[in-house]
Amino acid sequence: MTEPLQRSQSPFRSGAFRFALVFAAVFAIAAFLMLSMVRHQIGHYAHKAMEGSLTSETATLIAEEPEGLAGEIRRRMGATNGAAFQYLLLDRQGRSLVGAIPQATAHEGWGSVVMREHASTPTDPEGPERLMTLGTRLADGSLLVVATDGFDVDKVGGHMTRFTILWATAITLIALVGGWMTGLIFLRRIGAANAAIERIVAGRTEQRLPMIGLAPELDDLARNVNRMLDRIDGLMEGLRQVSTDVAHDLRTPLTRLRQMLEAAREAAGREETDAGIEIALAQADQLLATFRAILRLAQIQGGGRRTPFAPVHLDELLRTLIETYEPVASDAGHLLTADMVAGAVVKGDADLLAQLFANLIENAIIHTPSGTRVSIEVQREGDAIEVVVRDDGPGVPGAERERITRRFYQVDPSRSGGGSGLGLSIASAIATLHEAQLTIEDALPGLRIGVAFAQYSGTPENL
Amino acid sequence: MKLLLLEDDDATRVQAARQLTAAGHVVEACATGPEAIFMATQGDYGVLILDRMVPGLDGLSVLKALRAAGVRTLALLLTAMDGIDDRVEGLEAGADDYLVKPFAAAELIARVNALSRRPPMSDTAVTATIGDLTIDRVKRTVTRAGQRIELQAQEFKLLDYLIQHSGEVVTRTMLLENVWSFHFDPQTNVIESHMSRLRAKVDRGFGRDLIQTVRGAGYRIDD
Repeated sequence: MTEPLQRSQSPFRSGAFRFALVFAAVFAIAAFLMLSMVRHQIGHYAHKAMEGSLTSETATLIAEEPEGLAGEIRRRMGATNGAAFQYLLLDRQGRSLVGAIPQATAHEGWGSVVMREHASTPTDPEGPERLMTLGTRLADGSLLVVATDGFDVDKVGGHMTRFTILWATAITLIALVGGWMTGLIFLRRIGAANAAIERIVAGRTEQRLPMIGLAPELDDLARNVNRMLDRIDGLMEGLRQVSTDVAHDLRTPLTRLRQMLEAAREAAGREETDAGIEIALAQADQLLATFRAILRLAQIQGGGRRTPFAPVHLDELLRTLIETYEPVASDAGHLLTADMVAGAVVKGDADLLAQLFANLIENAIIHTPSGTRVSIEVQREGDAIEVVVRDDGPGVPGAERERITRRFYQVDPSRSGGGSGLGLSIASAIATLHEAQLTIEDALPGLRIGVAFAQYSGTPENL
Repeated sequence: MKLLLLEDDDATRVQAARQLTAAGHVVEACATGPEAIFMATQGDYGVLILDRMVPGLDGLSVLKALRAAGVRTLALLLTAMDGIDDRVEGLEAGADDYLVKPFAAAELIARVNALSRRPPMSDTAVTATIGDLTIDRVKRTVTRAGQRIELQAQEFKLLDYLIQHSGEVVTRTMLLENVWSFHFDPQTNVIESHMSRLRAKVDRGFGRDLIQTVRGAGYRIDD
């Protein structure tokens, strides 16, 4: 056993907590930006509003008779309903006639002044009051200054800042606590998954990961890992099966080889010895071929890396195979015939497909008596292409048909004709790799093996 | 011819070197990738025989490195892997031939000989003559002693391959791979059936057999 898989972790180091930290930081920055923007907008609006109100108040006062202006100002200053404006009226010589704002503001145009007498108090932490002023020279040479603090921008800004800081802090804290708790839950769930993996590593391969929860994508991950484990389990089972088969089925030819070598050793003459060795060598070659076939089968079944599939013209491939096997068939006293539709194209690996059909043709030749007819047909039905290898030989009994694609399975060892017993297993594995359906049926008489593919529907220039 | 053999398994290395030496070659063997690279860049070899599965720097990497360094010496990869992808990968890496373990000594020797005398493609003449047999690769005709011989497409390819390697042994596997593009062992006598038909057409009735069977190894065409 290597290092343990589970590392006990603090929730503060969990991914969830880190996410929470990041989100809290993002939130704080966003809140700060929003506050600045809102403050700026409000300030701008308030400024415009004050300018507007000062201009209209000044216009109203100028409209008064000049001799009644001071009286009007006094009247307005005396009004108790929340005086929005303060005033200053200077005569032509610059003497103050009426008003309560400092002389410093006595100039034409816009200005501002800070009223020192408004000291900061606990209820008004903003401190001294800032006034905006507008001075206007009247027709008789006197100067009218109107001031207002009509909209206390700074005060509102201060409130907003406090409010935002308070909430940003609260939400950051909530995010951190939430992140810590999520992290804790997350770690527990992951811990359960890790514990399951520990058990699998320890050899209990039937174990599977529990659903992690919290998020559908995590459950998908657990589900996919479980599917992967199922696949690995299947492959392991296959491997165990192969080992058993190999051990079981190669014992016979190895024993035979040993007997031949013994016989060769005890042979009387040199010629007999040579003949014995010759036979033993052929036997060894046969064994090696079987091993190669086993390895090849394992490779095909394993899937794994392979050359990319390309369009394959089945009729051309089969025509070449028929040309190859026609002499073999006629030497064995068989008749090989073909009946094919043109333009049957499938996506696949031409080398492997050649092996698939070669195996089927060879089986039909090896396992049937002389005089048997073997036909190769390519049929098309809609989008499906079926290649059929049919013989009118003795056929295979129903119960056996299920089993003949198994490794080393031989219906009648006495009729095996030197086959390794792997031909159909390899054919079946190649069909599976090409997502093709291999069917074995009674041909009445004989055997019908069909391989149904999906027609390749690529563009002609790909072919 | 001088051969370089990279093989990490001592028994296999000694055995293969002995058999190749017996077949008239000079063999220099090594057991690691870096050694092979050093020797191949320093020495003048006819063929490099590289085992693909060597611990550390394997045969495939050695071959890629040599090809990248501009070493064009013919190379034969030995491998225990027999996947189609493995073969393609080997050939893409710059191998000229590929032999799957375990192999018979005759197979290795035949392939090394075939490689060392491989004619460059441009040298494959339009016509070739063995004794009184002439093959025309463009018209796809065969004549012997002035008589036209009709061959099937695969018989023609088979004869053509034998003639390209005339005087050398060609093995069953070489024929399967190069004439039929079969990368698997057929369970039936594909080669024998075609060979007997070819012989019936090319040799029968001409007094002297050009195509010979080399017991335990394969076939050879010779005048």
